[in-house]
Amino acid sequence: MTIDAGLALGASALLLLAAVAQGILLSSTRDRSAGFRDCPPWWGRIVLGARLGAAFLVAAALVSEAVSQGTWTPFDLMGDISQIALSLGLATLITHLALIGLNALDRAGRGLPRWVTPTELATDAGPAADLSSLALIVLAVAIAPGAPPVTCAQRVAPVALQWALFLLGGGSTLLAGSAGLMRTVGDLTPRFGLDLAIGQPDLDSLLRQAAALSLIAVGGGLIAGAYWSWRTLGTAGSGDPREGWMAVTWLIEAMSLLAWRLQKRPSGWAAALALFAAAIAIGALLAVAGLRTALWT
Amino acid sequence: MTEEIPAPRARRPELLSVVWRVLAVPHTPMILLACLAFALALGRLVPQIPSYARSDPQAWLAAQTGLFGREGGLVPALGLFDVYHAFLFRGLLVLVGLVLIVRMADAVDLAWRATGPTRWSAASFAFWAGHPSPLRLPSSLSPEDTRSRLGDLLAEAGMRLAPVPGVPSSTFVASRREAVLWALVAVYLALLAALAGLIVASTWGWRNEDWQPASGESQAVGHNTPATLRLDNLDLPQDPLGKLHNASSQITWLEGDTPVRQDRVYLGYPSTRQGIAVRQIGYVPEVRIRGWDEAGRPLVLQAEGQDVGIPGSVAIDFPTPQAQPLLFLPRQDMFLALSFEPSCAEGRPALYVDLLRNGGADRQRVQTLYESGSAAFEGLRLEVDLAYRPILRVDYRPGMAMAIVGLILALVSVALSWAVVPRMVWIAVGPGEDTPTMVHMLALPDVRDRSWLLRLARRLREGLADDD
Repeated sequence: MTIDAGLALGASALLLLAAVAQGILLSSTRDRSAGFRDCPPWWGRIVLGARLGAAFLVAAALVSEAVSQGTWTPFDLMGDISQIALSLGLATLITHLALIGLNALDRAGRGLPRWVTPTELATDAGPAADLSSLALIVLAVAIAPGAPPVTCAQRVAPVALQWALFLLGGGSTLLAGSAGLMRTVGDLTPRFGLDLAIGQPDLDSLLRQAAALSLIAVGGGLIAGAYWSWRTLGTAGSGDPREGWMAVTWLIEAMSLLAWRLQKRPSGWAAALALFAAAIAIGALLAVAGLRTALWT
Repeated sequence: MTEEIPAPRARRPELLSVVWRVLAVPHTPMILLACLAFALALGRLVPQIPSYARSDPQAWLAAQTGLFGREGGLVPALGLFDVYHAFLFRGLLVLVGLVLIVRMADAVDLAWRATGPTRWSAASFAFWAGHPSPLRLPSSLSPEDTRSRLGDLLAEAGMRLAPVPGVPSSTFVASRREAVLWALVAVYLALLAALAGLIVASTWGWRNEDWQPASGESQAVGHNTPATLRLDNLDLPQDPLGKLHNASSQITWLEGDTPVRQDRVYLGYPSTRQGIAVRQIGYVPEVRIRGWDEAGRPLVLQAEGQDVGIPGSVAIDFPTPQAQPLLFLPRQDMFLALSFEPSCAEGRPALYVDLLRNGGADRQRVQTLYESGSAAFEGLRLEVDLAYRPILRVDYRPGMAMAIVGLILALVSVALSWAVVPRMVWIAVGPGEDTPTMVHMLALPDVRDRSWLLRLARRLREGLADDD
């Protein structure tokens, strides 16, 4: 086993621990008015520590992989599926940790920007987000690199910006999808006599904020790509299949945001569409690139 | 609230009004976005007819194999090989444009009422009607006192109050950051501009075949234009370590035989004149090979595409940088494959000469050349003359700049309206059933976070309770 694979597996174990601890917290917090603060504080510390540790190990795995290859540039993120999976996992974790940080700031009674909604979202969507990151890292270790090499036209700042935005947007899409999953689970479980006591206003807030961030980041990536394709090739797109699938992700995320205008079950539609967008995003960045080749050869 | 605020008058449905309503409901853009996503997904899964095959699409279709190939019949029958130029796709774009126009008109109306001289009226309740149930705040104060107290509380929250004349009860609109509503108008306007730009670019634009000129070679530009383009030279500057810097082409625009402008083009930096752009999309090697056997006799060489081999030198064409042309040595029954790596800024451009064995299953590198040189293998000797030609693309896409600028403006406006949430709430104060006064609060449905409304309602409820 290579060092980076070992580091990635260590991160996976920590994420599993975080998901389990978060699940225990959720199941023990049936009274939402009591919330996270009434739980034993060390459970919260375990969750936070495990996520921080996982983020550190994923970053270390990326660096280690770069060192083992001899050279590394940000452009490698585009060409190596394991790099993409690790980066996407890291993007999800960072976004998640940032939201936890905002939550902690709010609890400490410090000032927040007015447009940032104080929320308990870090607790409710936690397990799903952790499991999403876990799945990505497992994919990173399991899938062999296979993306096409990066061409000269792609080794430029606009393309690096495009992929940075795609990874940020991918992380946000996964978080929105996590919230959508938890929202859907929260809607469905009472039918089976279960009550997970998921704080729906908090999940809805996460769903909106993460989906909006995803819309902006993925949209920015698409525009950066279109701009550079126009400058270099005179076309609106580079023909990269992953770019096309991110455009599909963007459209579905836009549908998820528009669903809040519906009169019947707006949050249910928004949650389902965010979940669908997250599935497309994972496929777009990781696996679907080879689908057409598989179909046509 | 319905007894206090007059409902919109019932009118006979008119066709235009019905169409407008259909385009204005949130289901319509969702369905259109779903159709667009489906079309894009199809365009990703099914290979689309490339531009170079547009002159003879049937030949290209006949060459397709695989799951949805000619044998399957389904995909060609449905015309899915050309999704983006299909009538239905263009119709979809037109419908998206109509929806954008309708939403922009609604957004302008809303922003104008919120910020302009035209204020709210009883008729503008139609804006808010049909939206989710209003929040209700009971108050034990009289309606007049409640109205006065609400005014103080809302002013403390930084909200401006605009009374609604012509309504029996005390009704007003409280708003804050209402100027941001114009950002939403900007979003729709910019998206419309982008859509129009894309339609113009795909309808009126043209593109010449990619051109690989030698130095001094010229070509007429476009259709029915007097302009001619000439390549003066291709520069491949290298630093002392041999690393390649920007490969660039010196070109001259000509009117007839008269030079009118000189320019330098390189990757991502085209030369533009009267809307016509010249882009250097890459460069390829220009290879000429000759060879000798152990006895010093000239080798017979046969390049790919040639019917017979000839002794002496042969030219090898690279249609694209990724091409790997073959060279056949009939007397030795050997195949050589040539490949090219531009190497970008990491090193020098390299030409690889590989010997193929076992029908191409085994590939042995014979030589790597950075400049003209020779290769020796199995008693044979090859002399390779290596030069380079740029790949130039000339096109005219009149709407692309508008499309890109429109998209950027739309994204900035979306980010602005996401970061700075405008707050606007319709408040009606009237008599309650169980309490002297009931306050109704109604906000517009929005894609943004509306938890502020719940917090505002809690604050008002607490404020009204303090005065009880």
